[in-house]
Amino acid sequence: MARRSRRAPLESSFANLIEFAPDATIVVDPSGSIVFVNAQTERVFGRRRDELIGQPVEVLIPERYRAAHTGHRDGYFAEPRIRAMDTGLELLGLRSDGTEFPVEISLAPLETDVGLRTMAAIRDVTDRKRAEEERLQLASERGLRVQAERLVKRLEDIQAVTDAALATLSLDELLQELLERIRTGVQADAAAIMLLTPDGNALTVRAVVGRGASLTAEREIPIGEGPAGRIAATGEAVIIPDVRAEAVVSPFVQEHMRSMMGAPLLVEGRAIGVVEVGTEKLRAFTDEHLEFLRLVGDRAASAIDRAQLLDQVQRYATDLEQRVAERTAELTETNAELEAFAYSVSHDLRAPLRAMHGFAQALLEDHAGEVDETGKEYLGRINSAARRLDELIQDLLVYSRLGTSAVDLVPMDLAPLVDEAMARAGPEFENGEVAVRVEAELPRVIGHRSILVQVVSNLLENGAKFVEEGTRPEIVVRAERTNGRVRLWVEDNGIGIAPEHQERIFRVFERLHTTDAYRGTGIGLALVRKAMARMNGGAGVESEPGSGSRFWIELAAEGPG
Amino acid sequence: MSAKGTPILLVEDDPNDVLLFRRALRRAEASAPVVVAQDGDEAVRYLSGGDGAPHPGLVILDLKLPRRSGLEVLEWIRGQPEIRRLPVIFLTSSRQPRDIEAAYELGANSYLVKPVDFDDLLEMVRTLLRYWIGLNELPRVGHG
Repeated sequence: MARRSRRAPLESSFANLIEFAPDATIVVDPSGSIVFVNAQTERVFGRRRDELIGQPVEVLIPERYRAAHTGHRDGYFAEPRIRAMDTGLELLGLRSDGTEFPVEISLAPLETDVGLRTMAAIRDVTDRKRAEEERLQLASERGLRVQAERLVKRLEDIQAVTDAALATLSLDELLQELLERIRTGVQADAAAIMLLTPDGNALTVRAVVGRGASLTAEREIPIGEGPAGRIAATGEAVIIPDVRAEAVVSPFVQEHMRSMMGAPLLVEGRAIGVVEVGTEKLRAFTDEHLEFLRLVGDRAASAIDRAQLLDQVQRYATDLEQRVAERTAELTETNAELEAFAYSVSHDLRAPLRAMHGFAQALLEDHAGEVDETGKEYLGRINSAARRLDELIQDLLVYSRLGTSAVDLVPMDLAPLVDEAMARAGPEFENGEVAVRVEAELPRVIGHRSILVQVVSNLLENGAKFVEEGTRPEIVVRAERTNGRVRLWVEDNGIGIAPEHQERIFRVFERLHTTDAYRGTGIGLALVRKAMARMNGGAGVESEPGSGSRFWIELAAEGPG
Repeated sequence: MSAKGTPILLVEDDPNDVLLFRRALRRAEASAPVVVAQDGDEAVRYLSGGDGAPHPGLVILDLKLPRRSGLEVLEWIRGQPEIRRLPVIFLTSSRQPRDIEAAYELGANSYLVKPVDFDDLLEMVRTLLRYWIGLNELPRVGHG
C-alpha cells in the first residue's frame, strides 16, 4: 500500500476512485463522445468498455430520446454546472440487449488539461422505482380497502334495512326501497329491477325509480338479448360506458341514458333477475361502482327471493282462507239442508203414521163387532209398528239435531237432572216397576242440560230394558270425580254384553237383539255417545254376559280438582 | 165461562188429522162445535167474520199450511184489534226449537205436538178441553 501510494499520482488515484464507484460513471467530451467509463458502467449497461469509448453518449439512451439529448448536451457544455441526482430528472437507459431501465443522472463539469469534460454518474433506479411503485400500490390498496370498508358499511346499512324493515315489505315495496338505495348509492339517474318471467325465458321490469319511474313494463326482454338479457344469461355484471354503442332493448334507455351498468340478482348461483342503473352522463360508472352494484345485487337477490316466497305464502294463505270460507258456506248450506230435511221428516213422515195408528185404533174401537180376533191382532200390529216407526223418527231427529245445532256448556247440578231423566224415561221408573237407587252425593258438572237429560234418560231406559224375563230391573246411579272429570255410572242387573259387542252398541242402528225380544230403535246409545262427544265428554260400558252392565258417561267437573 | 155454543176453529189441511181430531173430540164428548179451515187463507176469511159466522173461543192451528202458514195466521190475528186476544194453540208435528220459539214469539198461547198414538191424542184433547174450555176464562172477542 505504502509503495503504491507512493508511486501513484493524484490523477490515477482519482481514476481509481471513479473506477470502483457504485454508480456507472462516464466522462464525455464536448462533442459528446465517451472518453471514459468505469466498471459499473459495463455492468449497468451490459457493454464492454472498448465498445463505448469513442461512441456518442447517446448510445446509452433509447433512440427516441437521442436527438433531444444532443441538444441538452450542447446546452450543458455551453453553461456547465453541477446537477445532483435528486433534481428528479428521470431518464431511461438502454442496455445492449435493447431493454430500457430507469436511471437517475448527476452531472458535473470537469476541467482537465485537455479541456472541459462532463462527468456523469448514472444510477440504475429500477429497484427503487419498483419499491416506489409497490409503495404506491400499497397506498392505493389501502385506499381500496378503505373504500371497501365503506362499501361494507353501506352494505351493512342496506342489510340492516333488509333484515328488519324490509322483511315485512311486500315484494313491490321491497323493490322500490332497494332501488332507491342503489340509485342513491351510485348517484344514478335511474335504476330498475327486472325479474325472470315464470317460464324463465325473459325478463320483465318489476320496479323503476328515478327517471322513467312512471314507466310500466315496456315489454319483455328475452334472455340473452341486450345488456340485461346478457347479464341474466351469463350471470356477469357489466358496465356499458356508452349506451349508443349497444343493442339496448329498452327504447327508454336508448333514448334517455348514456351509460349504464347492471348486475345479476343471484340466488344460489341462479339469476332470478337483473338490477340496472343508468345515467345521462357518458362513462359514468367505474369498476368500483360495478362492484358495489354486484354486492348490493347479491343482497337484494336474497331479499327479493324471500319476498317472492312470502308473497307466495301469502297467496297460498289467502287461497286457503277463501277455500275455508267457501267450505264453511257449503257446510252451512248442508246444515241448513239437513235441518230442512229433519223438519220435513218430522212433519210429513209422521202424518201418515198418525193416520195408520188412528184409523187402526178407530177400527178396533168403533167397529169391533165387524173384525174377528185375527183381524184385531193385525190391527194391533199396525198400531205397534206405527208407534215404533214414530219413536225411530223422533230418535233420528234428536240424533241429527245433535250434529247440527250449537251446544253451549254451562255448570249444573247432576241430582235434579237425574230426577228429570227418570221422569222422562217413563212411569215405570217412578212407580216402582224399576228399582232405581241414586247415590246421595252427585257432583256438579259442565254440560248442556236438555241433552244431558236425554242421555241419562236413554241410559236408564237401556238399563231397565235388557233384563231376563221376570226379573225386576234394578238400577244404581252413582258418580265419581277424578282429575277434574266426573264419571256418572248407570249400573243395571241386566243380561250383560259380551266384550266383542261392547263397542258396536254405540253405533247407529246396531242392535244385538230382535225388536220382538227387546224393544228399541237402535239409536239410543249412539245418541248417548254423540251427545257426550258434543259436550267434550265420553261414554262407555263395562260388562260381562250374565252379570249386568255398568254404563258410564264422563264430563268436565265444575270447579278445580 | 164461555157459552156452550162457542165454536173451536181447527185450522188443519190434512183430512186424516181432521177426521182423527173430530173422533177424539167425539170420544172426549166435547160439547163445543168444531169449525174446520183447510188452509190459512180460509182461516183468515172465517175470522174476518165476513159471512156472519160466530167468533171462535179457541183457535187450534197447524204450523205448516198451504199458502198462508200457521205462523202467518197467528201474526194476522194478533194484528186485528177485535180478535187479537183470541187464545191460539198450535197443534203440529214439528218439535223444532225454531218453530216453538217463533210461535211463542208471535204470541201463541200453547204449543202441542201431535202424537202418533191415538190414545195419546185423545188424552191430549181431553186435557185441552178441560183446561181451555173448562177451567180457563176466555176473553171476550168480537166486533163492538
